[in-house]
Amino acid sequence: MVNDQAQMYTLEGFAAGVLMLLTAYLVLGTTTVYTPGDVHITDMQLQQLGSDALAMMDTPNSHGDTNELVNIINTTDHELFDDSFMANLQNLTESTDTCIDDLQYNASVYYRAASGEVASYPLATSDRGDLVSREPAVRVTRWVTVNGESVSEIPEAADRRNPQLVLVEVLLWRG
Amino acid sequence: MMDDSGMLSVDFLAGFTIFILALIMVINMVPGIMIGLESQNIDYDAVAYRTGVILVEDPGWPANPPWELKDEYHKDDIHRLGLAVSANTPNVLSRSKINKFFNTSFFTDEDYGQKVIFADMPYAPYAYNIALKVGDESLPPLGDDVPKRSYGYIRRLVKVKEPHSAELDLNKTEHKSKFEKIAPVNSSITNTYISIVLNYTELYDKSISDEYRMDVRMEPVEVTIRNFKENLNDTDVEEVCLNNIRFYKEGVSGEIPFGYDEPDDESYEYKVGGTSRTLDYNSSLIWDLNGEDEIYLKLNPPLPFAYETDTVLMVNMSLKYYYDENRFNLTKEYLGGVIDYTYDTSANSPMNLPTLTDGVLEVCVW
Amino acid sequence: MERLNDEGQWIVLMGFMVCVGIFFLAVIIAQSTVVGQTTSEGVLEFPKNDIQDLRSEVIEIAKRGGTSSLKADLKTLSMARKNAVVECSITPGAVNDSYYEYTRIILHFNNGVTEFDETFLLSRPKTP
Repeated sequence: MVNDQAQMYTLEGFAAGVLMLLTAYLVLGTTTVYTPGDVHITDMQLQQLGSDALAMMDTPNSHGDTNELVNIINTTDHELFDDSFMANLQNLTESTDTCIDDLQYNASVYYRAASGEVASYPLATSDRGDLVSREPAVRVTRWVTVNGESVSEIPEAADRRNPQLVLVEVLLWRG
Repeated sequence: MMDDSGMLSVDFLAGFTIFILALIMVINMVPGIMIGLESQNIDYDAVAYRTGVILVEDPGWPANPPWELKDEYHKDDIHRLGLAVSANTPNVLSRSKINKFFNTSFFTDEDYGQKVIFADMPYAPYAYNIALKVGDESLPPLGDDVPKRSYGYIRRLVKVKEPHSAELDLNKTEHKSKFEKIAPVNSSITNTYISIVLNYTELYDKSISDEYRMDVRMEPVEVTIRNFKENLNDTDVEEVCLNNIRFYKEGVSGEIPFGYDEPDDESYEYKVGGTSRTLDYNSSLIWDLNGEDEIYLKLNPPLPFAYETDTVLMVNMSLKYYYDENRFNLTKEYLGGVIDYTYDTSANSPMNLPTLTDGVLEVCVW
Repeated sequence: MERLNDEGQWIVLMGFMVCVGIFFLAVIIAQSTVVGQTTSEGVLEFPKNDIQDLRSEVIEIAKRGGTSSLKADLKTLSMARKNAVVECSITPGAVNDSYYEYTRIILHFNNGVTEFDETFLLSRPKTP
């Protein structure tokens, strides 16, 4: 009789304790998996910024003015792309004293070659923008109608046309 | 029985202690669940993003006639404050919308909360800071100073559509040549005009996209005539009268009814030599004009008949030239003619078409 | 063993209740995290910028008369680089009025997550 009861309460306490600890452990394990919500937010901000930057380069400043991005691709001007794109990314108002993020990018141009295949050539990269070991990046793109015949990077065999539609693709990440 | 209960309480004590110890351990673990979870911050970023999209990609509501033309009494008609020129032109902002939006004497804190930020709960408004830089010029930011702690943030790159204008500089020969006229030899008086012709069909050219279009429904028309007095031939002309300004519609006889004699800041701005005047102003002796040699006229939107797209509106500035009747051998040169308000960009056209200036908009919400 | 039933094992019961409490808390917390994810991920997932860009480029193609090689470029590159089906049909002179000639543009975009269709008119003044 005595032995019976003495074991009963202690066992109950053990059982309850193990149950609670196990649940807490389980819950802790599952919820932490769901948490990295803010990672997406910085990605979102970066994607919007990159997309805006390309859009701004693709908008002439007055009716009939030259389009900067078209001009860059027609002449394959790596430096002008770098200057203009970085200037856009680093444009800030005075109200936030946020330090300018160290952004890195790698831009390339995709075009349709003969026989319907898609080929590409690099347009420009930032200082540490080579793709060997990079952070998780966001991808922003922009359609551009260029004069394919003047783009030396597209091989002649690849059916250069005027006009030709190409896709500028920029991978963007925080360095 | 006594022994029984004594044994029981020791057993119970042990069991309960183990239970309590486990409970304490579990309670200690619970805050760990919350680590890395800052739902507040996530929410603020989403609000900042939404505000950025509304400001940059939306023309606001009502869109046509646009909200920026509403006055103090009709402020409640404004539902949403967007700065885009039109829904088809994301990232291109209108200068007049910007001016109205950043006018803190017109909009209150509450208006911004309800019409841009769209705070979910009226009793828990968000604090915000909206800053815009156009070119190198930073506008005074709206809202509070950005805090040192974390806040929701978005940055949008924009272009601002600067207003169009006509700038006739009579010191430029290519401008002046169109206005130099010679009166018949025997005349002693010439009644003439400097006329600004606005052909709405041409201005609303739909093949020109919204960001470059001159839309008199929502954008002001600005005309400056420089060096008028300086270029009058004073050996030929004895006296010049600058009479009133009148509006005419092509195909309709007589002037358009308008409060010409009332000073009306909302519909026009007329300056002769730097002094504001009504459209009825007439000056008999233009030689005596003081100050700058400049005639400036700004017509605020919407212009008369702006919603009838086939209208041709003429804004006529009457001029009267008197010649010395005793000296018939003079050439009798006078200035007058037509300023065509069009998309013409050739050298002798006085037009400055809309241009886009790079800018950046930042929204912080906390 | 009869006594065992009498006691009701209330310590275990209390432990069980605490477990249920923790579980509820976890469910609520998990829910709030999901909210944070969907707003930012939803933004990333929804191809707002792609569609805006596509729309402006299709207008550009239409202004050049709807050259078929440009449409082929658009279709091939969308499929290869964005995994999106893009179809556009450009009909110049579909509608006319006294001042303008309108080009009808029918645009279809589908990237598997988002589908977008639009029909609109692009106007060009008639040459007198």
